[in-house]
Amino acid sequence: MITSSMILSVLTFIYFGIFLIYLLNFLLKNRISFVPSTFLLLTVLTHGLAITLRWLESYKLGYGRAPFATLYESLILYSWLMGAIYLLIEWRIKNKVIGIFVTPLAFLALAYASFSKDINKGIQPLIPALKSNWLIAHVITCFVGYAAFAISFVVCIVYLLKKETKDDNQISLIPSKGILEEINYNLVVIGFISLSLGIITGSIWANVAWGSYWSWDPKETWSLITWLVYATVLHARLTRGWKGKRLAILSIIGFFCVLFTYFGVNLLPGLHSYATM
Amino acid sequence: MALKDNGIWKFFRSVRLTIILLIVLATIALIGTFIPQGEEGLRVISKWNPNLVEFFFRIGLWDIYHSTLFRLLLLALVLNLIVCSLDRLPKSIKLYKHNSLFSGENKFERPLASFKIKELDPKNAQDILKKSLKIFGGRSQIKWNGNNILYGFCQHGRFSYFGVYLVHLSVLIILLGGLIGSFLGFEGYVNILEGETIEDVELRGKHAHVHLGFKLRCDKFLVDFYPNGTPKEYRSTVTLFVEDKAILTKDILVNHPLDFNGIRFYQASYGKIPIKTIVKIEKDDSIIGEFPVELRKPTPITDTLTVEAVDMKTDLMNRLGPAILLRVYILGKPTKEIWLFKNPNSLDLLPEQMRRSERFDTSTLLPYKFHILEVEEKYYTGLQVTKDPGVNVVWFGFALMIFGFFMTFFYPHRQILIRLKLMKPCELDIVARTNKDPAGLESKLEKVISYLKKELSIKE
Repeated sequence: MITSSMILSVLTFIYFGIFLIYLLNFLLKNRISFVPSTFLLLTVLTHGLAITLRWLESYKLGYGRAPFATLYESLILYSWLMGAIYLLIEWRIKNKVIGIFVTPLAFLALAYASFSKDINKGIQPLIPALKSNWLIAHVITCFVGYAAFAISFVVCIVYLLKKETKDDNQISLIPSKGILEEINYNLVVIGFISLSLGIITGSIWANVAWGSYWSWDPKETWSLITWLVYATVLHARLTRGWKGKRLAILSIIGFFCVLFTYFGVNLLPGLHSYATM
Repeated sequence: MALKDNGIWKFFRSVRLTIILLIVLATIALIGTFIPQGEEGLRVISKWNPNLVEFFFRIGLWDIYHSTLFRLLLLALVLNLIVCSLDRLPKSIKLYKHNSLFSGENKFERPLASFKIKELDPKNAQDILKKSLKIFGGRSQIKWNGNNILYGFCQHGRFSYFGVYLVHLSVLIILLGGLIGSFLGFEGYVNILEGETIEDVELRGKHAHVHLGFKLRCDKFLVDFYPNGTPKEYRSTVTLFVEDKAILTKDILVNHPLDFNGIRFYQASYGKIPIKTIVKIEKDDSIIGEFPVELRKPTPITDTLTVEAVDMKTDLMNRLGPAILLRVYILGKPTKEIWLFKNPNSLDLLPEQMRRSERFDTSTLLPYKFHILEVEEKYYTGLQVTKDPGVNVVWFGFALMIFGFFMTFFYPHRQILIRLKLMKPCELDIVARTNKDPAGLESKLEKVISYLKKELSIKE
């Protein structure tokens, strides 16, 4: 019997393969441009099916719950959203360079989920605190935000690495700095709205589960820190002298805050402790 | 405007200040996640280094999110927000009112699209123009200039200029909600034994009580586990009394609090405490009988003997097993308190020195001898009790924030102006403008143009 986690383990390698195809397409100056995108689309669809399968498996075990409750499941969702959101952006901007950097992130998240010894892949039943309709809304909005910020991070890295050139080499395939800035802004907006929704749904849930919509729990606080940093990015855009490189660096700092909100906080004691399981 | 030349106004209207405040607030929030917070935190810090406690306490580091510095920074952010918004609002109103495209011929110096048309009936032309504007969407106006130039203007999304003010307002409303909660609300907790009724709750970290004005009885507490041992459900069945009349009976579960008159009860913790013991009593080696003794309730046994369990443990010192702290009254006079064990061998587990302590010396009770037969436990439920009249204000702030985001980021202000010159040959020119999402405008224009081309039978 094929299980969802077996499919996901295989997908890990496929994501790495797709990274290589994106790279190859770049080296071949876009001559096989439809190949990586088609493969990524098929992989993201399979990935989505694997998540659905895991949902069904939980019903077979008699628990019947959404697959968004453990660290393993969140990493699966995270890599899937990165792939899916990236595809949407690729379709909008008609440029395949960013894919070289996004696919390794999806690969890393999935590899950590599938092959780390610290991660429990089993489908556990929900503990009382997680038994709520807010679980799905809260986790999905947060991770859409995290995924948008991950791609923003990648775009900013490309922005900082890129040197303007007029030669007809590979570098001319990379979008211009102005376009990269525009893409980053749009991603930050999407991420910021999703993170806001994540914090809001989290607050409403906390008010039902813990008795207060805000308790300065480390994860809450770090999500606020992340929110403040990206709010700064959005305001910095309106200020002279803050555009360009500084803004890109600020966005990168924002993504490190995301990573700390996601992983680092587990080292601190708090109410979100079940996210480490 | 005298106000706007004011130095304080100038200081608070700067976006640079916003950026600095946001970064400083983020940094302070960050520090608070690494330094243990609250009374619990002080205890942790005193373990690190007792000298730090005094220092942390004095500068507010122990409760950073309620410190004066943090509050002042929030206040500065609020002022910054208000001043910035008031400073920029007139500009937005101007943008809203001003139909920037619908004024003047000069807009047509570089039209987006121009076509020549062979002939056109004026009445028909006006209809087609109207319909094409309908495709663009929004408020449209048609204007004749003389009797051979026709203008059609249409725009939508003007309101989006105010989205950002709604977002800023929502932040103020959320902070206001928090303020209301901290002044008019409370956060407390109460432990209720099964069968017990309470009407006061203890406030968290304040060493004070709140009188509820009604009574709450815990009828039953239940904890359920999955086969693998993880908890599945905590359930407290409670009955609420107003003036000693039972009003309602409800189950409180995690994620399902009980709400009564704005006071909410949350399932927060639970525990078991020993509450009753059965003691076999002998006098001069003849058995008097077996008697149930409840915690802290002096129980008369004979005319001369009364027994009280001052304390009970299911497992004293986590290894000595069930034990009770017994106080015996002989003719109303209390003796010394003595620990009695259910398991007679427990005493041997103690260090030599302790064993000889008179707290374990049962010979002082002679001629009476006591044997513990059983220690019964009862569940208690730990409920968090909160009142927060600011919550709905916060919810409203959240809703407004999301609404404001969509207005700000997703609604562009788009305008289109179409000019029809009804001469021979007829001319059609289009100009358009948007404040964001140029790709969106383009696809809108494509639709309008393809409609016009079809209706006016224009061939390229």
